Amino acid sequence: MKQLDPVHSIRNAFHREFWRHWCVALPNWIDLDVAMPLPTIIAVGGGKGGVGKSVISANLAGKMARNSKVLAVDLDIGGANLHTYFGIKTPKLTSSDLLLGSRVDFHDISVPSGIPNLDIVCAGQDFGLDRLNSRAAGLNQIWAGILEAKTKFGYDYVVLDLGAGTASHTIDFFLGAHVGIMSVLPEPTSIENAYSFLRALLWRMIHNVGARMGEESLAHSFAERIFNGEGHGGYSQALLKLKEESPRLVNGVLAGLSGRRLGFVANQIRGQSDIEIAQSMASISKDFFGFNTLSLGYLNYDDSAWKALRNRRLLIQDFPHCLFSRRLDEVLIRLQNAVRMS
Amino acid sequence: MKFEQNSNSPEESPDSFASFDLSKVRGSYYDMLGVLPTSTSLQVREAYFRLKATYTDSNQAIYSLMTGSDLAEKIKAIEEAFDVLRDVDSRSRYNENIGITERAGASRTDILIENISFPPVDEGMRKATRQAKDQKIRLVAGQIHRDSSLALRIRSIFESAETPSGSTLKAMREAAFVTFEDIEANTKVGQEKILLIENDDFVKMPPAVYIKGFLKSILSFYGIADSKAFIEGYTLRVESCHKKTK
Ligand SMILES: Nc1ncnc2c1ncn2[C@@H]1O[C@H](COP(=O)(O)OP(=O)(O)O)[C@@H](O)[C@H]1O
Ligand SMILES: [Mg+2]
Repeated sequence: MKQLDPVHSIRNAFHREFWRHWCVALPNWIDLDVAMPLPTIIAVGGGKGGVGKSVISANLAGKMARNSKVLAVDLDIGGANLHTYFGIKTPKLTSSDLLLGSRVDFHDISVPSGIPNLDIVCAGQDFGLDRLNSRAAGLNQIWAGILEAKTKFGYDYVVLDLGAGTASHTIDFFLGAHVGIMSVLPEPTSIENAYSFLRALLWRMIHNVGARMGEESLAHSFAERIFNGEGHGGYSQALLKLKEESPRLVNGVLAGLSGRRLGFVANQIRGQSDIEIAQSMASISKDFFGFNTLSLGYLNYDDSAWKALRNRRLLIQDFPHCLFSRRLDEVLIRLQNAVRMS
Repeated sequence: MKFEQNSNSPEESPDSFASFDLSKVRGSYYDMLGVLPTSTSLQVREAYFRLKATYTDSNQAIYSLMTGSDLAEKIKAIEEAFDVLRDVDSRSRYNENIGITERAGASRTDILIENISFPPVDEGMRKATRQAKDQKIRLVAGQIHRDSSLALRIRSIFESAETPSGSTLKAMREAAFVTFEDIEANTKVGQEKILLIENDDFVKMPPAVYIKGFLKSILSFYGIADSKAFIEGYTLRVESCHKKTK
């Protein structure tokens, strides 16, 4: 009898291929069983506020719900507005109730979005971030809700709408995704914040892998060296140079880098010269940071965005043929290819 | 549309990775340009122009990432790589120099791990790398023996195997977080042989006597000394398959 590797039993080819490498960079306190079927998790981040993370999350989730069961989760704790893009009011229960330790279940806080096959979990408006620590029990519950979305509630996809900034819980949620989408605007402030976000991502990843391998202090000293000096010509090169000192830790980080995909979307494009930006940032993130990147394309600046928002309806519902919606179709196709869904 | 072309960059077609020794590519000019030994000269040229356009001051996507001198260094390295790879003759001479040869496919995850950029190397640097690699050999082997919790974990994977099979070795490799390249460097067993063994691909394997030796070095690399029963069980399977196919 041939003895089977447990990873072989995962049915979805994409998850099977990435499973081990994806797991290694998750926060250390998450202990996943190989046998548990996972939803495909897509996070939308980018470091800066107002770059279109929520518009993209909402409309992408809306498009995906045509063929699959989707859960969109607002993780912009304190600055929530994903629900507004769907034209729904903040429900009575939100993820803040989880975070504040009320006795609610993750399932209690998800509400129908108004679009078939698509539910959303809203975040509260007024929750002070300072009261949150990355191991808070409530945060744990949110993680569990996301990871068990397939087994418990049958969601095929979970879309995470992240907040701005580089708070550790934001970075961890981004690492929890199979594909992390970086939304960037063609302007220096957005680009600058995107790179800060990527630095925080790599920094956190090294620490997470180190913690998982019981090498916290070594991981910390590696990260310090990469980010303070040795990595000025590229972090991926600096990382590889450390392989001689600890092949196991560096291989672990390399595994983590290869076990998740990083897709760039250039948003609010106004001219031909802006189009290149997603491709350019994708190749820089691969070359300089070592991420497993791809360009997902671009989205035009489109007046339909605010018109739909005023109507409090989803952009793709109100203006299904507008430029934004058509470009988002192209983004979705690339995304589907990346995770080989459909 | 420019946009469509771009989406077909080499990293999007994993199949094209499968037919050469990735450890040789690492740190090479191919790596510098983000192309592969199998890339066409057109693809090399495209990659060069894309990189040149990426790493210039006027590219807004580079904003805040690098200083002026870092940028100049990068461009110099790109030019150097393209100078060699642009021409068919100098490219094939270079291939010979760094020893790129065909080999059986690696698994995609290993490809992804190896698919990470490195600066270009000249002869002196390559020598240094080779020396460093020799040092690493001892380090890697020592690493597993030193790290007792890891050694225990690997041992328990080995012991929990009901039937001697390649999947056990694969699980051990993944638990140890070593690459095929690391194992080859330590055991002198070729990467393609390791892959055949991990996949229980008996038909393509050399005779069982060789496999015996390979298994012994691989297992002792993982710190397993009492491997006799496993090795015998495994080679029996190889032999019986070879008998059947004859
Ligand atoms: N492509 C676009 N064209 C026009 N307006 C856009 C576009 N993308 C985003 N916006 C607008 O920018 C504002 C911020 O978008 P939002 O998704 O809320 O950002 P974030 O979630 O990143 O903070 C919103 O008013 C939104 O309608
Ligand atoms: Mg938002």
